[in-house]
Amino acid sequence: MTALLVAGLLIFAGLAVFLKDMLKAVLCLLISSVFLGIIFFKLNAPYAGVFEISVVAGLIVVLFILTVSITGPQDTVSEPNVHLLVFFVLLSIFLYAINIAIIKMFACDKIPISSKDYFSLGEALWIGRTFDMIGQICVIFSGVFVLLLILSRRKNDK
Amino acid sequence: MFLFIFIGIPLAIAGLLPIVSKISKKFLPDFLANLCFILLLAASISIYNLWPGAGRFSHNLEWFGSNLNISLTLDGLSLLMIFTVSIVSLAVGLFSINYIERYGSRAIYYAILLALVASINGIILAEDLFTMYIFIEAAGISSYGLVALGRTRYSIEGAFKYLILSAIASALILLGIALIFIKTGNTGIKDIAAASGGISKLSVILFLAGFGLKCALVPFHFWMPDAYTSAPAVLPAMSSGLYIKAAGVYALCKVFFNIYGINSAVSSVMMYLGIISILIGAFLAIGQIKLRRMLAYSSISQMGYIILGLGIASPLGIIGALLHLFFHSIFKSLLFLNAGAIEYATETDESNNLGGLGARMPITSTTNIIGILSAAGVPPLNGFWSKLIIVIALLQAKMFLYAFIAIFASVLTLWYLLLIQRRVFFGKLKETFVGIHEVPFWMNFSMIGLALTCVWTGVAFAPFISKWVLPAAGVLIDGVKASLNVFIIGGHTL
Repeated sequence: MTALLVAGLLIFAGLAVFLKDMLKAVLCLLISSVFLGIIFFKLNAPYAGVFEISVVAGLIVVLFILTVSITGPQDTVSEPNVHLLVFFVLLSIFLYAINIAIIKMFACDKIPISSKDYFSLGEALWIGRTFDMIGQICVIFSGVFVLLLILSRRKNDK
Repeated sequence: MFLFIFIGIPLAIAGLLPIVSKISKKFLPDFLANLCFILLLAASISIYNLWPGAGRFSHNLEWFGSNLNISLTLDGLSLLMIFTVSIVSLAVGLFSINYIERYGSRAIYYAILLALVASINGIILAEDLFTMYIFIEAAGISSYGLVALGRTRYSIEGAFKYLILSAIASALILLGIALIFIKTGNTGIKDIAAASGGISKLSVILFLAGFGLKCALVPFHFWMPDAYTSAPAVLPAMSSGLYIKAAGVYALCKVFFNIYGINSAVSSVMMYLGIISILIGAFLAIGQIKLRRMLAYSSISQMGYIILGLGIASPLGIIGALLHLFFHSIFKSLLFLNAGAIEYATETDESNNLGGLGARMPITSTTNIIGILSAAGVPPLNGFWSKLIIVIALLQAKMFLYAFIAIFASVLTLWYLLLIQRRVFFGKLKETFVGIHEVPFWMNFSMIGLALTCVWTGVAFAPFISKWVLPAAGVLIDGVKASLNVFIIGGHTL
């Protein structure tokens, strides 16, 4: 299960880097952060999981809108192939450097956790960190309002 | 329940506003948002009246007898911060009634402003580092929205830069919190402070860099001028007045005074960062033509005074720093709102294109000069007392060079701010501006209110210190584990 999640994370992170369509790239980044959030849960770090999904996802929504506002639909990003090559080389070095950690992660199909410390998603949200939920509501509200604001302004501009 | 209103009410109204705007696009958003700000100010004053003057007050929220696991903490420092937030947000809210007409949807604007206020209050009242981090993020996202509220391409670019650098700061802070969690197994401020065993030194560096970026200390200052120049005037007023203080200085204080306990190494680093910020901010402000860019550099310089005062870590230094924190919120918000008023009337904020506006805009001119004199530390206005106390603290600590630089930078501040006053308000009125007149009522009302606060807190500074600042300083001094020296100003024992 963990292996599948890591694979999903890497695939979508890679797609986020390679896709030239900004909208699709940001959506892939969003999916990869959801995978990372689930991995955090599997690794018994429910708080990190919750915030990875909500805060990072919230930020990405704003980032996405801002990026579209700056570049516009007609702008295209063209990069020489040498960048792609450099990226692959760097990625290979990075993967080699962390291979031990990845092998360990693939090797253990179940992370040992004590029942006392374990939180399910619901428990982490509603019992473990209730106050943080208020902060997350702030994050979501802010992201949605910023989105509405920029979208309404773009409509007016048109 | 009482403490929760500082977060709950603005958040609830923020959620309500887009719906309410379907009924009334102008009146109801204006009314509800400002009613909320008035309520928050009244609540902070009521809490102050009930406040015993020392200690902490933790509050667990309950719902029909069951504990909701929502715990808020109020101490002298957070009470001072809440009071500051309430005053500045009310002034910005009133100013916005007329000002925001040019910036599209009123309801969405107020919703973002209220979300920002709720988030800043959340940072202040949180008793857990992780919770504080989430509210810092929430306040950051609201700020990006306010930067992007401007109509130009540059405002979106400014917001983007702000977002990226703020995200870096947040990542550093989160990593610092993670290191603390690994060492102590906890994220509660009180629990971490009580935990035995060393705390990661790397986390000290991460926090210093992260909070340094948030409060735009040199060398982490480069985002501020771009973000403030491109945004509508309400953003710098809120950000310089409140956000960088809550997410930067307040959080820094909580971490370094209440968790680590300040030591000589951290104290020295803070003093270096403070004095460099004072000098570089002041020098960079001198050459600026754009009003808000100059005020942004001035903010960097003034933040340096606060960090310098905290870095001294003596009771007097801390009192001076906290006093300057409050006063700077008031006079810098006033100056940014003035800059907004000038831009509203003339549609430019480049001082070279302006001149002779004093005769046409007497109220803005008067409130601007009060703000300038306060910022430069001219007696008897408020900025004078806070800078004086910081300088006395430096002299007491035998740091004569630092004291000299602090005074020198204050003179520089007076110079560049008066230069702006002369360019904009004095001299001959340019033909282009013959038809302009004073800004609308609520903008004037807001600026006059802040200017009067500058005068009032300057004249009645001694009771203000003893009633509001001393309990706040006590919280940090407890952290330094130093005994409070007796210092007497105007018959008030500090």
